[in-house]
Amino acid sequence: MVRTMKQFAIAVTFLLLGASTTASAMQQPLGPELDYVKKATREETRKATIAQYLPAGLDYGPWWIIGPFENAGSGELDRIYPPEQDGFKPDAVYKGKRGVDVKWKKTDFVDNSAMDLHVFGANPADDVFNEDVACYLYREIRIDEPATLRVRMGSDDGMKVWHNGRVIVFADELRGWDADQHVVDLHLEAGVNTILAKVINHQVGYNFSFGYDNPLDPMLDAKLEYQLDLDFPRSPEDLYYRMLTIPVPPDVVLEVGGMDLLEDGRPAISTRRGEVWLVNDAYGDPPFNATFTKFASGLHEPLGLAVRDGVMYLVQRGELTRLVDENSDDRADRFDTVYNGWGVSGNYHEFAFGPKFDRDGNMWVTLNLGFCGGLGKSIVPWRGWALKITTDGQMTPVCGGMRSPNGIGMNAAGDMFYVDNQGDWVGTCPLVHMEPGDFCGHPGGNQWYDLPDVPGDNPGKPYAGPNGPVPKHEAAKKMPSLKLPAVWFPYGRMGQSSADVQCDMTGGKFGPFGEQIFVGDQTTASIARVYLEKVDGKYQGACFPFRSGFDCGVNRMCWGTDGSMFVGMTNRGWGSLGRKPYGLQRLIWTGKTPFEILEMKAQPDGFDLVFTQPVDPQTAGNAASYTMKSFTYYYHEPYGSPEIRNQQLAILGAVVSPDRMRVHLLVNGLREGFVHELSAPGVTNADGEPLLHTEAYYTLNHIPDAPVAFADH
Amino acid sequence: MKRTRTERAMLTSAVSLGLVAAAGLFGAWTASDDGRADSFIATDLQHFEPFGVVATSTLDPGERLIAELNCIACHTAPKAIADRLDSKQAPNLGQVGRRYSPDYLRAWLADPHKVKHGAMMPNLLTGIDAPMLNRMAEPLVHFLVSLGGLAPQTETEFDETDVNRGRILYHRVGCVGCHAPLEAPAVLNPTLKPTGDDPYGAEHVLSETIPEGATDHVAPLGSFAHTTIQSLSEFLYDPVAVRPSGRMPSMNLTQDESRAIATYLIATDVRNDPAAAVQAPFTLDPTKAASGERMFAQLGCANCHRMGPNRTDIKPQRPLPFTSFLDLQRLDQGCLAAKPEAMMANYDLTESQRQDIRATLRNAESLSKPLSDAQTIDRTISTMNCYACHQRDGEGGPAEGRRAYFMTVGEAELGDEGRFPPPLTGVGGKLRTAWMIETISKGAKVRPYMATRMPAFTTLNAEVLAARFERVDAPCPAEDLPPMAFSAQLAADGRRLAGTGQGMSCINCHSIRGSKPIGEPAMDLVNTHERLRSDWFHTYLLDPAKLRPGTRMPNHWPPDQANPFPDVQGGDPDRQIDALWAYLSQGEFLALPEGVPEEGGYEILVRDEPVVFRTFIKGAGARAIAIGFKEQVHLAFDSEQCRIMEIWRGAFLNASGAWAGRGGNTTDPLGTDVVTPADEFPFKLLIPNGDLAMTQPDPQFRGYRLDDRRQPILEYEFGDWMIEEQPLPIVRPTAPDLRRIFDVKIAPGKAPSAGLAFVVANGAKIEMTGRDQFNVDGRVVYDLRYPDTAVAKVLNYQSADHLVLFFGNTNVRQAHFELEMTW
Repeated sequence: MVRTMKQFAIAVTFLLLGASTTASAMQQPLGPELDYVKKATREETRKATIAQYLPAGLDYGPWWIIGPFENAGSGELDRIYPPEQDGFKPDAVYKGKRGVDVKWKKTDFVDNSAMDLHVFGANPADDVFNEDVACYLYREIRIDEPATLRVRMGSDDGMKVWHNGRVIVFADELRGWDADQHVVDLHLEAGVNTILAKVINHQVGYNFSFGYDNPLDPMLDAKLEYQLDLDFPRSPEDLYYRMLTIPVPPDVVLEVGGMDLLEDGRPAISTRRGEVWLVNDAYGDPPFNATFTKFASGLHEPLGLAVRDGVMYLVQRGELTRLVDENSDDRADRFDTVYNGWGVSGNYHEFAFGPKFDRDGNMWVTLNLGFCGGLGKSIVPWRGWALKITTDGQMTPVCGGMRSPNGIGMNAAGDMFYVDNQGDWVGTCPLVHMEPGDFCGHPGGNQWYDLPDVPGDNPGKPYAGPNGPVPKHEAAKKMPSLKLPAVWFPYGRMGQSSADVQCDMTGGKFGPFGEQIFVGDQTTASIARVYLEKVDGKYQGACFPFRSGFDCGVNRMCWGTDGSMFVGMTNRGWGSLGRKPYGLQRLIWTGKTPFEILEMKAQPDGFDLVFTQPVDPQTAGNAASYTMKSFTYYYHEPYGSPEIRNQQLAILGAVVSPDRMRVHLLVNGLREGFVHELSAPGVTNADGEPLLHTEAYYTLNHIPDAPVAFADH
Repeated sequence: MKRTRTERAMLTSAVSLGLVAAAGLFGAWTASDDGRADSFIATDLQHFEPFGVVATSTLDPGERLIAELNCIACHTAPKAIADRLDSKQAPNLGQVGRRYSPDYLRAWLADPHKVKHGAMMPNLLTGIDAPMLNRMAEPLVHFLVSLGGLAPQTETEFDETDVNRGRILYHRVGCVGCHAPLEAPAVLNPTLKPTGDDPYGAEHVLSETIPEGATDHVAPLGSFAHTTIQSLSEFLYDPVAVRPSGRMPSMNLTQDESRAIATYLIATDVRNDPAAAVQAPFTLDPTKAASGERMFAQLGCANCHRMGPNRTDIKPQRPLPFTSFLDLQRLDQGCLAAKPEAMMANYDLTESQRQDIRATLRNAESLSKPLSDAQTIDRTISTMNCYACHQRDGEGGPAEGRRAYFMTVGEAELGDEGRFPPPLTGVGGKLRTAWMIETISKGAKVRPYMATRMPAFTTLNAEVLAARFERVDAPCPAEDLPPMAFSAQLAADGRRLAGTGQGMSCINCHSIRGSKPIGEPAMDLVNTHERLRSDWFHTYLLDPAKLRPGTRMPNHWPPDQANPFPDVQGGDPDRQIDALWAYLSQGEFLALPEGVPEEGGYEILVRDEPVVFRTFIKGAGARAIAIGFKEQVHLAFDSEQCRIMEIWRGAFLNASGAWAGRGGNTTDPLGTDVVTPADEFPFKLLIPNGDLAMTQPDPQFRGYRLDDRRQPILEYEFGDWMIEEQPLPIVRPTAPDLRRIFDVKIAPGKAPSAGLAFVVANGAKIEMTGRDQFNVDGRVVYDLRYPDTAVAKVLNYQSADHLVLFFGNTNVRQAHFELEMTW
């Protein structure tokens, strides 16, 4: 729906672009499998294509209706009224209920829907003529050659149906309507076939339906959807990053917990049901040749998978395991326990995430706290901690204070990050840089700092001010090991359950966001983008919306060999947007660069914005094109934090760089420790297009002391 | 630190004096700019300082005091004023003798405020000397005792189960919204009893001390050391029978719960101060009682106190005429005097309260004007203290110090939404009037995850109040709303949208018609159409966070994204929401949507290859490995203890514990004929003389591999020994049995062991029944195959028989042996 001028502009733009058939080199013909008929709109195209799969000359005539005839209760289905004896005589007049004249009337009833038969009497809401009655419905079906058609019929209450004079349905009962009450294979003769249905009603609901299946099987239907998406993109984001849905066989419950590529480039996916599936032919565009091979099963909720030097590692609830396929038959034969020294008490919330490899060849594993009364605790060792484990099972603890760390990843510099989930002590989902000795904020696992050879000191009771809880950045001044997030993801707008951290090292194959970080969201079925910089030696930066509309909550991502991104999804137990409970999709950069804020960098007097395309100096250099506000979060035990200490900030000026790729915003009222939310709806590029995403959220932990000159960017 | 009652009373008193002095006329609460104004907590209103005067923007504190103190019981007022004031009635005294000891009644009459700080009753025996006081009070005491009969002695022994249960109920069901908590929030943990499956129950993270401010602004409880469990439980069960104005509402307690709370409260006070529970002997004197009845009428008691349902009221006969309400002139005399004269009603008012009353009285006629709907609502929810739990329009919500006591039941991750009662902002535009009436008058329980109960406010005219809410909050009366479309197609589409698979998966969080929710337990959708107005439903679904900030309910129609269901109702969100409404409006008769989990729907069938399944298994721990064979014999191996814990036949197991909802629940093996091998780790290191070594290493699990028939071989280490164990089924005509094959060897490069033993089984009686065949307790027969250098013996130690295999004494580097178990 178009709600603002900006959206109208985008909508018009992509409609125009879309209509010119994105006839780029990546498309392959669908082959003889789908007989695609293109029309002006998506709906018309779908209808016309489906018609290709129906028998020649198949035409459904309109429905005619006549009634009501007096008919009290059940057991009366055999009572014969004139239309049954005469057949369809369009000019006939009979005596109906209460002696009223009744004639055949043409209706606009639609197939594949529940027709409401409360149409009798001067006032159709009048029950007298719609209760304890019978009526007849009639239509013709034409077809060139004999064919068999499966139809599904339903009614409220009972009915009797004739095809060419022969009874095909007899249901003498009082019942509610359902679409599938009678499934009949109709053997149509060449030429005209007649369908006569007598439907009786006792009281209240009075319905009839006549339906037939989509002639396309699920695979053909998927192919149709694929082609429709190419020709009629559903959202502006589609123009830059296409979303392919890889069909998953019905017996594969692909609730994605972990994903990585095998050495041969095939994705290996671990699922919450304990299986590992290999996807063959995963890179097809269209993706319909993909098949799934079960590599392993019986694992205990493997929520992460990594392949290194041809060896597969995954993390189960209780163990970091190495899987080996000794005879190369694509089935794991060995399940070696690499490390099982973290605690598992049996609490349902004690998930284990990882492994993710760092530059040194160590695997990082993060551990969820157990939950009791809605509050996190670690009654067995290392819950809430990040552990580093070598491939031969030597474990070194790194840092603690985590709550639900469902995502680990490495940036371009080799530093390791994790994402947490909003809850007790976590105001909203954060992206946090992990260093030995850090305390990330949740005190649930504090006792493990006291063990020998554990980096960092026990941070003690979380700091609260004399008047109550304070924002996290203020608490950090009193707790030296408390690590501030590099980026906060404001709740709702930038997701609600962050999952997985993936850095774009594709060298440009995934578009202009090289070396930036992508973070999925398991509630909003979307992926956010993060730009990081170092200020005062610590990471901070901005998050931006990137891609939404996935089939289900996004849980894991992994890069394909061609720089596309596989996206694994599941939402069981927590709910999400999207229309499926799990699945696998793939994001492909179309080659078109979207107009976006590429980078947002902190300055002593404001922010620098770097764009992906040259801006229009009129709009981008006008301070009125931007608004900004800032807020922060409490560091406190209650579940999540509202955005507190909101302030609107004045944007005093916007200076466009000579090459028009950058704008320096002068902002009054910057506050350290606050999220600075930028909205730039007024900015356009040289072609007059607005930004694809106008929002950016910068976590300003530190304001730089000295300005960074433009040339340094 | 648990404060004594005296300390608490003093504290409340000090606080109340200070705060009332500072309160001023229109609110001295600390406003917060921290964005919580629209969610569950707004600002801290003041209550019970000491007369429940709440400073909100539309209520005149003087008027409120006049209403709460029931001034017009003596100073008659015209009907218009009486209607507007809706004064608070005094407790019914018809059974008062049963409730209080005579000592208590005597002390109370002498000075109610001394006995219970914050008492609303005036002291009518004020300003007289002790002998006079005694002459007046004694007959009254006899009269009151005669009402209901002499109360039995207060208990001194208490049922600890009731005390513990009452302790938790008192702090959990909502009493602490209005009354002070008596213990720290950690008291709420005993409901989570530590069990083998939930060791988290043993430790709770809630605070161990009563939070700051928890006892501020509370309704006084008074002392319970003078009453009985029976009478107090009757009161808790039906408070309105004694206190007809319903300020203390029914909490919908069962009789058991009432008894438990009563026991707890009395036990707490009696144990704190046992002397208070001791009563002097008392004999009722009918003559004195008759005299007391006359005094009751003449002193003014009868002006306020009725007798209650089973007794006729006493007719007031106070000889001095009271100035009628509108004619009150001398506003520094009588009850409003700084120091009331002898026998004048002494309400123990502060000067500030007197000023407030005077200010109102100077303009007494203005009270004839009826209050508007909005003012009546404001007044009602202040008077009934709805604000103790609910926020409305930026005021109210649980007080800071008491928030920790508001809890969610179970493991719902709903945050504040799951523990604080819902805000009442705009409630008249949200709920249907019939539902409001039901909720106000009977309480409600649509949020089973919320520990706090909505009380039943039986004394309110719920119909009238609900109508007021509707008039104030709703955009239009409900009957003016356009009727919602309904058709079978709409309902079918709504059903599809509610399900998983092809819909929005509402049931991922919401239960529906009693089904178990898959994830967070949001409320049951079956009574949506009865509860909510259709227009509110529509607005809410389009942007939940707008009407309920901070809610976990996601927005399924984000404005800048394509409609996820373009083939449902033409992809039009308004029609899609209509479809959901149509589906839900069927109420009890709706067909369950797709994806509602069936009980037992995840049985794992073993068809050809063995199935390995790792999960939490009851009896086999959190690192359990279940192995199932198509021959229908199965086992569970604990990979922390490295041993088989259970073997069974028949069905394998049901994976719903792991595969349904959030997973993480234990799985029970299905099937029958369960047997357990030895109840300890079977391998033992020996010293050269054949005894057990003093220290035995812990076994370390190393994983498993699958042979060429995909049968698992379990691998673990025990000291320097590397052990492989492979369980396999034995097909037999009657029922399958189990073979266990062991290959053990010393790790390369390590010295050979002094000796190794393997405990095959233990039981009360192990008999040798054949060559290398042993019968354990008549239940399981073991057939052993082992090398010639090894020996099988039955030993008796620790009061049981043990069947043990001994492998050589020295230089043992490896061994292979097998057991066949038949049962």
